Amino acid sequence: MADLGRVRALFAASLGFHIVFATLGVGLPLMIALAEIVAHHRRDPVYRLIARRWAAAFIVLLGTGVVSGTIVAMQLQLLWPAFMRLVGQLIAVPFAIEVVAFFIEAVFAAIYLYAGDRLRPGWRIFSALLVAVGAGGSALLITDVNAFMNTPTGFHLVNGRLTDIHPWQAVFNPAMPTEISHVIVTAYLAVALVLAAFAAAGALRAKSAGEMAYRKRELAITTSVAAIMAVLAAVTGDLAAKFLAAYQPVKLAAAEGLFQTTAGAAINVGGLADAATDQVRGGINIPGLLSWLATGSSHGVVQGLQTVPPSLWPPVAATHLLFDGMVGIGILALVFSLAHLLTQRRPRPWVLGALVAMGPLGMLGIESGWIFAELARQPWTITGVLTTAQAVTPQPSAGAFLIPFLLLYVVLSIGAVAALRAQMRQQPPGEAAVGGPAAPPHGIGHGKVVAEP
Amino acid sequence: MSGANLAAGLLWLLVFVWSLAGAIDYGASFWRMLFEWRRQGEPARMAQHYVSPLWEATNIFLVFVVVGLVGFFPGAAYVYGQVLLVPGSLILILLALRGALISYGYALKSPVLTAVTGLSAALIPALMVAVLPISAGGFVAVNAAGAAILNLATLFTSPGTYAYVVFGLTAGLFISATFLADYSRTAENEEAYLAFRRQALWAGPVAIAAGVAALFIVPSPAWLESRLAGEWPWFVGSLAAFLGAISAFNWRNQPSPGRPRWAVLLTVVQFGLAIRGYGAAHAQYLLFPQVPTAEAFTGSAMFSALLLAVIVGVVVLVPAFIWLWRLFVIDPRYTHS
Repeated sequence: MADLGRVRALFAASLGFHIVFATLGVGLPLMIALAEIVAHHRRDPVYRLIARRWAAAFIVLLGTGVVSGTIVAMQLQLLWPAFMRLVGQLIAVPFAIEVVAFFIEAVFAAIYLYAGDRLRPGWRIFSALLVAVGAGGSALLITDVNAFMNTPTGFHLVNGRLTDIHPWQAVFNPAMPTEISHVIVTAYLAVALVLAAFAAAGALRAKSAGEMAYRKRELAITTSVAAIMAVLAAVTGDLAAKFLAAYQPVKLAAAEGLFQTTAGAAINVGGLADAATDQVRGGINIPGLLSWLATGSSHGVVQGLQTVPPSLWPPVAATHLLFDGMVGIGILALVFSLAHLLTQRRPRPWVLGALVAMGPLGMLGIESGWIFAELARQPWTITGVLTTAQAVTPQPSAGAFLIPFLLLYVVLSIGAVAALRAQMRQQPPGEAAVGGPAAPPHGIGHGKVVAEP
Repeated sequence: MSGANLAAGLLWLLVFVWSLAGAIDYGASFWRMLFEWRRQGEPARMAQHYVSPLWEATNIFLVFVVVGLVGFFPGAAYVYGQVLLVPGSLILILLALRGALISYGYALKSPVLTAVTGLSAALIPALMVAVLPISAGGFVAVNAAGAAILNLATLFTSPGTYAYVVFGLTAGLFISATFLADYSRTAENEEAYLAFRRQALWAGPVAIAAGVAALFIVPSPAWLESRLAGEWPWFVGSLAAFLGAISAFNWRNQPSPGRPRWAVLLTVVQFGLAIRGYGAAHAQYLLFPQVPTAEAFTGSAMFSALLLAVIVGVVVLVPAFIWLWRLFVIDPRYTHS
């Protein structure tokens, strides 16, 4: 028997690594396409330079996203064969369509990055948008499989045998609408925050008026997107919580550290949920808020963890803190992107400093959201159908791959940072920024210069 | 034709497309490394020129093969997932190094990056082709707990395995050298053309010898051997196409001998005929004897849903692929730059 703990750690490492590059791969194309559109619309070459520099980063990161995604796809087979057998029988359709979305992304990424200089602006914007469509589509489809794991539908399980299989019902499972919308807007939010962080750091260090003009535009576009996406993240997050209250009450209870079923339940922020005593220690309580958010009435009844036996509880201390961390980061993102938008004529150093910090925090928010989502479903891999212990490979040597893959991720992370730094040095933001004679002629050298120096 | 046979045929078609595209792509990484070491700038440049925009799209075909196996034959995916843990994980590490280092290489220039990229690219098909002897049977046992265990020691001490490995290694190099020869000719780069032509002319015969050895000389499991013999017309046709491809490299032409476009077409025909014969011989089992094809097949509702998704996907993708091909393989502004 494989060591379940080590196999889970291995797969968690693969997902945790991939989600950073996957999120960047989903968000960067949208930001690039937006910059291209603004550049074309306002005839402002600085936005064109912004698009070029983001594309230069994208070309380095895309490869890592592709290979780490391949690892995740294959490790699903190699580490969780029993899970993938059920996936094949019940929810194979999103995987098949996802491949199509991957192809759209890869084909149009090649076209935009390597042939952008040979295309007219309209076609260039079209190909950038299709990269975003392909990347977003593949994210939505894979998240749909995750939604199915939360609320499996489209089949009957009779005496351990699957009958009455309806693939399209599985695709349109109850968790799908709220989960995929929350995932996509938070991916855009996180990437806007990461780009805003680099822009803010650049603005704090800017030596020339040219670079400052460049950074101000970069900040304008990134904080605008961040503010919009933060609002949408709150809206979709609220819908997701109401969904959980109705369909996965145990997951919501684990998120909020709610042990007893309660009418007029409070929200606890930052407390330590102790499964030994069924109490939450510390934190701030806001009376009635949880009931209001979950049911629409501050006196509504919210189910607690105690409705199921403790053997089916997720690790509640961790899930509560992860959930609070995710929500807290979302709120901070809205506050600081709005703060910048209100002060952008004369950017304040404290706002810029806060935006620098929001870059890594945005990624941390994505990681905590996904870790919460996976942890809070435990002990199930597919709710009520397959436990994680049943899904794991029987191969005893599976855990031995933990260290090699961790080393691989360290090497790839170092490589990615080194390559990004080198890439950005070759594309300085400063001198060409104010549209003077040094500004890049429209389209010339686009992509190919950064790809094959 | 039963659903299972149709699904198996589609899966073979995917394997066919992916092994050609993958062979060209991995081989190109290897050739780039080799020619950089030999300081032959022109062929190295042509190889890199091809790989840079296209490797990501090629990689997705591999995911497509896996998704096809899971969707069409969940029972086979279940057993292969267990059996391929060790070789599969090794392939993943090589694949990740190779792909990520290509993209880091856009910004960082280092001979170490090129070497790791080229060597891992050459090893990937060699390891992948080990799936074929595994699928033919004899290396997998089911233990008392019902787990399928691959006997790595027997696998890697069997001469048949090495015939397959040599075949995978050299066939990939032959296919990519042939393709890159044509690619160089299209770009009117005769120096690169001649370099790839020379490599194709040695790699091809070695690959064919290894392939013949793997299928017909080193004994295969009995069930497969008799069926392979029964499919002989496909293999004879394949050999003829191969001889045609080699001769096409020597057809009279200016400024240097050979018509590489014909060599490419005949190589595709050769590979297609061989995979058709092998697939027909193998049709009853996806993994002998544990996974008969019919038993591993998914239900009809899922099969129709998948078929619909794949057909719509292909209709959407074909124009995109045509645009891609025109921009990077045909457009002289790219190939000549």
